Amino acid sequence: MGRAAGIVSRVLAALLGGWLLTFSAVGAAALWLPASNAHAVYATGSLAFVVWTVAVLVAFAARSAGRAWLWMLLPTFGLAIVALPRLLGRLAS
Amino acid sequence: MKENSFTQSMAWLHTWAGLVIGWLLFAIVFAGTLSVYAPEITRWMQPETHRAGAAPSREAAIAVAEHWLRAHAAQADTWHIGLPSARAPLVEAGWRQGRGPETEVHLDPASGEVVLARETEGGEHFVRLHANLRGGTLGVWVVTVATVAMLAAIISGIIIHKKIFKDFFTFRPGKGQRSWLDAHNASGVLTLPFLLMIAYTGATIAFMQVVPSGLLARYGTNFGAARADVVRNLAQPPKHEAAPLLPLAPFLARAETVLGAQHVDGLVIRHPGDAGAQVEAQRDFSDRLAAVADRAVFSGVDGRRLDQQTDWNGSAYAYRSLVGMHIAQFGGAWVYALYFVSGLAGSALVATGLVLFTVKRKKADGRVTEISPRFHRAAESLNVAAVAGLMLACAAYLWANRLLPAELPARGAREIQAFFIVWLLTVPHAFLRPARQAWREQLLILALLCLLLPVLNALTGGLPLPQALVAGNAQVAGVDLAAFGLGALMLAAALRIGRARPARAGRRNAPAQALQPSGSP
Repeated sequence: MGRAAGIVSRVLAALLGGWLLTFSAVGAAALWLPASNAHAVYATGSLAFVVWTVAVLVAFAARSAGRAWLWMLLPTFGLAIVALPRLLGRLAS
Repeated sequence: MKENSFTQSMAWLHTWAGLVIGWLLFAIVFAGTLSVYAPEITRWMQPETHRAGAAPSREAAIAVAEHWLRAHAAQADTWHIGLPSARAPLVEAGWRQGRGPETEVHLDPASGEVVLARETEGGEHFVRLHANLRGGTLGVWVVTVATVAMLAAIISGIIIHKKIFKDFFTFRPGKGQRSWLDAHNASGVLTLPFLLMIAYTGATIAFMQVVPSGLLARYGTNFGAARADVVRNLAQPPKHEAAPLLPLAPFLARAETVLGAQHVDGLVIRHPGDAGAQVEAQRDFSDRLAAVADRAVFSGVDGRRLDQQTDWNGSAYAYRSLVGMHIAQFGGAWVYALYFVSGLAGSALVATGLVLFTVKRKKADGRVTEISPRFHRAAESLNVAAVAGLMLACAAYLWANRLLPAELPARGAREIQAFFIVWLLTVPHAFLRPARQAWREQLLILALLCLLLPVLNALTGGLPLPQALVAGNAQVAGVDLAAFGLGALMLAAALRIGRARPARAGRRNAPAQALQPSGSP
């Protein structure tokens, strides 16, 4: 991969990958938090940008752009799997 | 070795994220700084309001609005009365039909007369520029992404700083690159807690739009239910039988026993003239961090208290505290001043960072290192337009406000156009002129526009500065004085650029190695 492509890929990992990670972290936390709906939404939303900011730093600290994507997507899928049973439970009820 | 490469990657992130978003970030930070005084700027931009009298009492102000609404909007479904405050001294009287748009007049609380002020967005223009670059939903996303990058740039900036305390007390003026680095470090360290707070809370304001997964997980797409869970609906439907509405002023004292003395800032009257009429009083949040509006509702026919909301969901209250920290409605004049000064220091941080990027990549003999000369030249030009050009456009906006005829149709939109046209014009100017001259010329014009703003104000119907000072009109005098002060600062900067020797003759009394302090960008 060329230098420019590597930079673009890393920036996309930080922004797009970081957003996906934040989206799934907030969603999974809101589903699992043993609290009322309003508590769950506002408490997780207030912390969302901690996740995204850390994700950006991790993406740039990663040894390569490929690893940056890995660091974003692995936890995203992990969180999605964790969230799935609760989400299906809510959709069913 | 590993730690070293981590520092390097953070330095790389800081430099490049800083440069690319810096061009947008300066506009966002500077417009946000002006937004602290948005009500003052709005009043300055409506000279027709400069000489309005003060209300003898808050009850009298309500009576003025009530009189007008009973005479002109008796058939409306909803009335709205905005009480005058130190920052917005006119009474607002608004009304609407069904879910239609609100029509609003502003009344002089002393005389009861309508004040026909010119159409303008006033300081709201800067609030909108700050929140979404006036680009709607896409703009919210762009600003949010820039803010996340700003958070990452701040934290990586801290990581690459080994001597954060010492750097704060270090300033070596007149030494080219090193002075820019010192200025960047000092303004960064000074405002670090503020910048982290303002960036984090700013991003969080829009979390429901940008990261709606929690909302979707708990409420699906029923956003109305999500709101109703936190902000209780106190409205009741009309009864469709006529009944006279009680006089409104006495509701103030009744509402203040529930909401707190001197804290009611508005009334909403639903179904005036109906047996189901309701008077809802809303509380300001001038004495609390959380931006939540407590409310109390009374029957408009017999004055009984019907309902109230003064309690809030704890997590929603915490979130609204983050919002309140950002919009700074708490704490009064000193807090506004603190936010304004911190915002200016934050603007200086972004500006010096941008300049440092180009200065650092130009050697004493004029050679460009690390990047191509063409890119270096483009970065220099964009720096001028993004910093000096943006401020110039802000000043031009205030001038357009006074030079466009007061009766011009759609003049509010024309003022916004003037802002963007001037900002756009600074781009070709910055590319056509050598960087140093471009800085100098744009800063000089900016300085002139700012220094002459009090004169423009006095000549175009505004309250002249000496009279505003004597009358204690802090809003009009404040905008004049702040513009003059910034103008003097910009004049000093422009003259200094004119006097300083060009880069290729720059002093080299330190070995090149020493120009790269440990871990600096």
